[in-house]
Amino acid sequence: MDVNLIFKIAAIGIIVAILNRVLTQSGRDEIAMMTTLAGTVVVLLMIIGMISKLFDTVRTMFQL
Amino acid sequence: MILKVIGGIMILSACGVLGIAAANKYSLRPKDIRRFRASIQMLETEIIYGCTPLPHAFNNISAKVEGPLKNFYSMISDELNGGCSYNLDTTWSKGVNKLVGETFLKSADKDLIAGFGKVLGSSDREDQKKHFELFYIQLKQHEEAAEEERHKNEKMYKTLGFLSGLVIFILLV
Repeated sequence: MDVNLIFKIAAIGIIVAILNRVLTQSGRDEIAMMTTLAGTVVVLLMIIGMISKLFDTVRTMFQL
Repeated sequence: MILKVIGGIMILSACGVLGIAAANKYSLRPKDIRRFRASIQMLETEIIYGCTPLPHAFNNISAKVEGPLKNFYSMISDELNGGCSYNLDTTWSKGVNKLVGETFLKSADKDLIAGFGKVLGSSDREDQKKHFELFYIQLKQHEEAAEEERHKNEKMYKTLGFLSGLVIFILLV
């Protein structure tokens, strides 16, 4: 478990939030929405391996 | 570690410059329109008060302005003087095409300016003066629209370029 990933996700979150603000302010709500979605997808891609690992661990723990 | 920092700085600066270049397109258009309007005002003075013939007037203006506008006026003056062209309209629109390529003016501005070449030098002074007045009003409208667009886009593109560089950097590290 590396802590770096958490920092990375936090940084992406902050940047996406700023991007969202900037884009909404200049009247591009759709693009702001798209960036938020893209940020979510990127973060999901980063953690999907860990989630599957978690499920595997749970499965082996309860011998399912 | 040092390699990462250097790479990060390179990515950040490249994306930042890209954003600034995109913002420049919006921030320089109002300036270009204003500059063009000033040169047209000189032309009006030459025509209305100086009664200068057009090739001469263009030559005088090209001595007073700078940059792409200088090339524009001197080219028209040369063509009219050199006898390559006897038709102001075609020479004017040729020059406008070149001018738009060299400055940040948009194709809407190009149409407006090219249209002005049709009336230039085609009637008496009083009539010309009216055409000039109308042209100023139209240019002013374009300038206001450009200013509004600048207000909307300039800051956004600058921030966007920088932040996208930051995102790429974080994803790569």
